[in-house]
Amino acid sequence: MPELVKRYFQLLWQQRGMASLGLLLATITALSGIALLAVSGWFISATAVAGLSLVAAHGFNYFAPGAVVRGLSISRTFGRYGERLATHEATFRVISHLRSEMFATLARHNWQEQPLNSHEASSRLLDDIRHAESLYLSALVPGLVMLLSSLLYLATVALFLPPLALWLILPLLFSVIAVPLLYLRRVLQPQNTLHQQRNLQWRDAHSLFSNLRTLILFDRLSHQSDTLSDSASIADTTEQQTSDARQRVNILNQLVQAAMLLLVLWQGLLGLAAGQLEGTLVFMLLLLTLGLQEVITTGSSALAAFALGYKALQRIGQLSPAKQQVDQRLFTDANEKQTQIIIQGLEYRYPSRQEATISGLSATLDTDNWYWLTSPSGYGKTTLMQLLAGQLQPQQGVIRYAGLQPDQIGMMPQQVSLLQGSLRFNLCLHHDFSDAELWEALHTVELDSWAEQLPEQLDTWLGKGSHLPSGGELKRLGLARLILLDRPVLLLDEPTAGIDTERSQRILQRLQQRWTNRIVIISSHDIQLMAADDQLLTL
Amino acid sequence: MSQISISTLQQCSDGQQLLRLAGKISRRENRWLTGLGVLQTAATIAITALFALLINNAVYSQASPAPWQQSAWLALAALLILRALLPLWQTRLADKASINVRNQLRAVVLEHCADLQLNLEQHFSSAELSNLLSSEIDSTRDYFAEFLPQQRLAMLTPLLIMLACLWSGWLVPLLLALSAPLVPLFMIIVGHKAAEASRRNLTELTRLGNLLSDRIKGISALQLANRCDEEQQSLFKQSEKFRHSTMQVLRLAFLSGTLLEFFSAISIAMVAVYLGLLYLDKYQIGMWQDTLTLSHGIFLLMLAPEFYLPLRRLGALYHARADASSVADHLLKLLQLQPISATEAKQTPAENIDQISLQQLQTGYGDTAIGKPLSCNLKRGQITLLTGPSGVGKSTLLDTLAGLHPAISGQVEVNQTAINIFNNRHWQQRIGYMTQQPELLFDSIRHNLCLGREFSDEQLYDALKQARAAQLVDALPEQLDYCVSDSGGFLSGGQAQRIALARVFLHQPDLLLLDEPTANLDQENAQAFMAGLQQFAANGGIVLISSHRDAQTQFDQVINLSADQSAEISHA
Repeated sequence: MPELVKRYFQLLWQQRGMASLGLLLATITALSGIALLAVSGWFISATAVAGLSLVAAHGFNYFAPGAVVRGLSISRTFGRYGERLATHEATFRVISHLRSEMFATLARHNWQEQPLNSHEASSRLLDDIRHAESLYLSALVPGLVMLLSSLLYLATVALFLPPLALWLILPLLFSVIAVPLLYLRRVLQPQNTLHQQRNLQWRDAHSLFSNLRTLILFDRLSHQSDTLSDSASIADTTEQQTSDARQRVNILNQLVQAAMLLLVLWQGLLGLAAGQLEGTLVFMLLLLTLGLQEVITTGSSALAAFALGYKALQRIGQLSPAKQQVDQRLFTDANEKQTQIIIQGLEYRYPSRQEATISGLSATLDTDNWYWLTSPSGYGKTTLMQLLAGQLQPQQGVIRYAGLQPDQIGMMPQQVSLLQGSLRFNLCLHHDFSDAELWEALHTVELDSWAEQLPEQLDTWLGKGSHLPSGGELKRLGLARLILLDRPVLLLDEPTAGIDTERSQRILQRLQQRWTNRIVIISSHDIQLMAADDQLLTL
Repeated sequence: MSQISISTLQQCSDGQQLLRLAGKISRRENRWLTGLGVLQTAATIAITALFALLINNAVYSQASPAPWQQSAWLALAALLILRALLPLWQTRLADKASINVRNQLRAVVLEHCADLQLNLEQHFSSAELSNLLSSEIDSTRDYFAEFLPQQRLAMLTPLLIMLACLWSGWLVPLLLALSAPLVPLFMIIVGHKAAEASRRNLTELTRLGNLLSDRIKGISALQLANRCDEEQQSLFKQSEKFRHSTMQVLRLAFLSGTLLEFFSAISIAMVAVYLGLLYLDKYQIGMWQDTLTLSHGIFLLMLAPEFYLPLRRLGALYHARADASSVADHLLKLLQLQPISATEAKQTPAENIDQISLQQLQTGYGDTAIGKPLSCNLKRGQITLLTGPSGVGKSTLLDTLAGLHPAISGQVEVNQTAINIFNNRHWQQRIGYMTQQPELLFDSIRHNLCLGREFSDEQLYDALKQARAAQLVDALPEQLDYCVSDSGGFLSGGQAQRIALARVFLHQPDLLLLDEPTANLDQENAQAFMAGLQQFAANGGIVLISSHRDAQTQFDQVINLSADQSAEISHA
């Protein structure tokens, strides 16, 4: 069983109070519904027969059945309401937990080697995860209620007319076991295909709308629109096939149930003629069957719903990386006198590449001066940064941090990501910093005047559509984050791209003053920004 | 098949009206569906009547079966089979109808998007539009396939049942008729509240979705700050908020369902008690005959729940209507955006472009001007640098020169002849434009380069070499057939940009517009790239580059844009 399905049931077990309440109420509701019909049927048949003779009519106690009928109709109504609330509550709680736990799983992994498809991941965690609710809501609850009701039904029939019960075993087994299995076989396949096709459709739509300029200029807008319409049509056809398959199974079920009704009537009338059954009970048995059939109809998709939820959880589970990454960096005693990074025989090769990006690199880095990586693109500047930050693991060699801990390494990546939220949130990222600290950091990277002209300063919401920082501003925001984190090892990947030379020089000078006694490694295309005593680190 | 036109849809005042109009496309299918629904009810009534007759006969006259009974059994079996088979036709028709409507809606929206062109960007993000044209329009299936036909049946079926009940007496149909208006009344009250809650819920869902996709995109920032656990907590909180608001909606939505359930249950109870007391001669009211047989009782009791069945089905489809109407609101917002009015006859630019002159060209979005009017000349064989602080309108100027935005005032002359370049196909065929954010399709590198036109591998590699991208493509797992994915796969921002640049070279333009082409290149590559550009210019091309970087000697002309004064132009 996939890890995530296990986890789902663990979480459901944690919500067992609410979950079993839902199941109990669902059972009560189903049984009251069936009983309401049956008792009413018996009541009018009995009164009709009693009404034939004056004496019998006079002596008929109609209060008790009347009260039972009223009671059942009330318990059915309120049972239904309670059942729905309880089952939904239980399942949504499970999903909330599952969603945030899954995010945590993603966050524990480094995605530098095999980039995470962010659209796929977020749509799995937002929409796909809701299919998981069907495991309990549309599979366990209706399935169990169906089985229980069927057993009780059979027992009741056997009590009144044993031969009928024998007749009914076969069609009932068919409805309760064969139909759900058939449903599973027929519906699941097209349903999965549909899911994939809808994903392709989204991809085509996204291709269209994120390439508007290119498509207009190359006169391909209508071509791409047609591609989208086609993929939508393909998915629509599958959708139609799915609902057709579902309906075919339903029809088979309906036919079996029609046969059951005829059986009940036929055997009932025979029993009546043979004196085995009272006249008042024929109609009751018929209504009992009708009531059960309503329950079976909702239950017949239970297995398919189970499989659907199972598959969804499987898909979501596939997001989490197959192999665990083990941090191979070594961290030695905090008591060492000098903090150092010692690199020995480092080699790294990307999984898709033939040649190693970094091979046989050895170096000792200390706090005496800054180290510059200036080799051209493709020589592994970013790769080295990511190896140092523990985002990639080398195939060979060792990185040893002397006198340092893993959480003492700060890195500014080449692509600084802006998160939706206020400027304050983007600077703090869940850490606590005072306003004074924030302004000071902004001042260091010369973002203070930009921040001051924002409508709500630190509390201005940044993001697409409102206040989107330019490339250079974003880089400086990334630097400000790093200044605030205040760590003894600093890795800066292309910190000055998109910032003009004079400003870059001013900012780097301030950082030189601030970051004394730290290990600083910086990768850049601009050699002219190097200070006199900085050192080159060649790859 | 009826057609909808965009102009009629634009006049809709709200999403509901748009849905009604769109629903008319499948008028014919809906009529058939109504017919089949009525047939199904008629079959149910007949089946009930046959059950009643057969049981009645057996209970009262326990004699040998009458001759009509055999045909009654046959009719019963036939009707039961018919009733079981009908849903297959209904589903097929309903699916056909719904697919029809959604296809047309998609077509109308896409057509409108083609008219709006870049105007779209101002109002919708690409993710928003992608969702609208995939999951959102798809989600209206249940509305068009099930809700619309059921809406009419919810009126007709109860009416038919009431008429059938009149066969026995008048009190039961009267009871049903009296309770019927209560149902929609309560549902309107509940529905009003529910719609409000549903809107709040949708907001929470959007928030959760945005938060999730944003935090997953920015996961590395959180990892670097060691703050993933805190983010997990805040995601959990938002997820719980969504759960609360969903439960609020469901409490109300289930209430209307429960109400129907209540009426359905109570009607069975009422009919049973009423009939029982009638049989026991406690009173004589509401029936046509004095002595009542069991068959009437069976008939009425079995039909009573059928009266509420279509309403219960409609209630279960409540969410379909709520979802569809929020999608429709979204669609309407898009459809009511006005495209920039179509321009008159498009002139073809001269065969050989020697000079492009900008005459007091003012760029901007809509009526909002960006930057100052600009006059300058771009000459054949020259490379011009466009520089200035961000936000001053460099990208807007390039968009305008690419004919993607109309100019607010001023004009463009080609070889001294004024030409309207906005949306001008002939013009756009002559230029190559590389945007700041490289635009790549989720498709193979080959398709991204060719964009559906024919080129040999040799031509492709020539263009790739020109863009300094040949090596990088060779290192990819499937070279030219490598598929670019949403997250870029193994392509970094700079690499994606070079692929986009190769595409520009491949299509051999006369005028090259390049927005920050060297921002992601290192010194060596940047120099080689500039050398390539000089080669291009020497072969008779015109180049306009925007850049943050300082002016260097290799440019023939530098235009320095500034926010509050007109541009400074210097020549080499």
